[in-house]
Amino acid sequence: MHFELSEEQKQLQSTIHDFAQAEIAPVAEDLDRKGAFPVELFQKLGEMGVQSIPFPEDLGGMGLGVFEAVLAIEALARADQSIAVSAMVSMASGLTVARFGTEEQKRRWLPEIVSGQKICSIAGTEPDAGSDTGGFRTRATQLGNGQWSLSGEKAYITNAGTPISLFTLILAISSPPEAERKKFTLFLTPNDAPGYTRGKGYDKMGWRSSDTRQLYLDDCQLGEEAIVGELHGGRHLLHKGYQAARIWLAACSLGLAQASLDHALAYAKERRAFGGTLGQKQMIQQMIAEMALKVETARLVTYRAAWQIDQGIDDIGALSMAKLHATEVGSEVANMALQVHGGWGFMNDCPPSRYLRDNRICTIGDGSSQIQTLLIARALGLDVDFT
Amino acid sequence: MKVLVPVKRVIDYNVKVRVKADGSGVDLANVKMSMNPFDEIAVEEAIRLKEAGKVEEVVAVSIGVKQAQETLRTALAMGADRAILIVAADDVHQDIEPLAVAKLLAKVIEEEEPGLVLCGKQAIDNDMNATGQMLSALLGWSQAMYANKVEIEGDHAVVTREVDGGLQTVKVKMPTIISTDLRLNEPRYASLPNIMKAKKKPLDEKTAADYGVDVAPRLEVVKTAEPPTRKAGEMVGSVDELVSKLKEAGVV
Repeated sequence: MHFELSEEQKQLQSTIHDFAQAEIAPVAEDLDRKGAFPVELFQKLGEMGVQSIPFPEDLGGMGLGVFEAVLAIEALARADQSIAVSAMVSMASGLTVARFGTEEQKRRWLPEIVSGQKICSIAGTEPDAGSDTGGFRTRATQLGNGQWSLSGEKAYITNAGTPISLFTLILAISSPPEAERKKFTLFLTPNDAPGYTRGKGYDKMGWRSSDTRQLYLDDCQLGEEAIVGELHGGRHLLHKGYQAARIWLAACSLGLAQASLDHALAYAKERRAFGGTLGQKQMIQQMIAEMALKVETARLVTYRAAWQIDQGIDDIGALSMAKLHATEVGSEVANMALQVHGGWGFMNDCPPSRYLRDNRICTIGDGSSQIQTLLIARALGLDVDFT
Repeated sequence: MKVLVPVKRVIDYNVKVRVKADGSGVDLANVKMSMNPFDEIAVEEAIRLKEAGKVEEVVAVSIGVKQAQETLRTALAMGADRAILIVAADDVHQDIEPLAVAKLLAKVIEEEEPGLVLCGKQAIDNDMNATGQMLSALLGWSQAMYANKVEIEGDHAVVTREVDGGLQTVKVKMPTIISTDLRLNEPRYASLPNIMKAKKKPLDEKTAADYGVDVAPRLEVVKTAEPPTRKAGEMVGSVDELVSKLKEAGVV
């Protein structure tokens, strides 16, 4: 066993880190304030090849793993979690098509996603059901001529309404209404599909420059070529295919936690109070040491779970631990960093205050901390019931 | 035409430099090292010339410790075609002086026969600003230092130089040596796929002895010291008070 990154991994990490610190970190506050998705910046990441990391080489990707993408997302989130999330959602949605889509879907829809010139999304959650697919209402009705008609609403969907949004993978009930058990199918829905519209962006507490909207489907007609994976196999795809997003969300929090530590440490060395620097006070030393410990443990569980995915090891418990721990650490460490900054920490121009707002959703989205806890308990062999 | 770009591995410009306790130099142990920023500008300019079809091949050269390989890989990732590493020191603290570097480069140039050498005007570690000029003297080539614009016109280069008080444009006959100033261009970020491809690009490894050049230092560093710490300022309440303080201090 060894803990050393390979030379290539180190270089990938430092390249993205340098770019993110030079080009993203200085504008993050302004992006947060404006709340607009940064098209140019996102495409610049594409030119660097960030979004191409986990895609196979024959699709124009770098053919690297979920782990290398974790390194990239962590480095991005250390500058701005909002753009890291936009990138990772597009990568995870695109990867679902790369893994389960038809050759034609891959050729037609993935090149611009892999090159980072366009962005894509996945729509699971619904207004009155959250992530509980049992309560979903969006329905796909077979029309007989090989066509499907989709009607319903999706809520809290990331990346669907930017000027460069290309498609959304929409999960809809595909079994007939009288069927005893609901079955779901994932439909690749192009942004310009008739009957598919996006609502206006939500006014969010954090992730303000990532695009989040409600989606509306009103007799949106799609052919069979829109079906990703098996007919009626959509729920499996959402859980398995989109699994990478869970570990990448952990990476988003990890990067943000590291940034919080960076800021707290720098400020503690610089800020003077009571005849010395803050960093000379034992209470502050204790806080900083504890923050570093939290960041390091979050990194270890996240890296290991990502590595396992690349090794083909299916370990839901490890994945849930990474998601739960890293996202909770993100909030804890951002909050501690804010405390170290004192009164300034409460101001919007103090980065940790933005970090605290941004990370708040991370313990909720992609399976809340409570769900992750239950998944861990179940992985340990306990009888966990979600109904 | 072939372009030769010498690149130096230096302490990263973001690192807060620490002087060694015995005053013999700067502490380089466990410190982030990067390509000298002026050399990065030179690599960028060479690649742009290649992209514009003025140049066929970009060769990067680095002279120093074995770890300078990383610096060369950066140049390759940016777009250089191949690299030559000349190992001339084992200890990261041993700086190879400009004359030795220029002599080694002259030997490389004899072999490679480039039409142009693009180098940084100086390295940010010792700020010598001498290698390009010495190389020009050793080879008997023309030189255009401190370029902020470079244009190749047939067998001449038209170079706009940053000089005291303004800009000067010179036309030099090739082969020539051009050193880059800060405002010549903004170097690109190497893309991730290019970083991976850089591993497969050729990198020749040589030693100073292969070229028969003696790199033993000629200069003796007497002392290295940190700049004096700035004394705390004094707050004044009004312009009048400021003026009277300045008069007191005898500066107005």
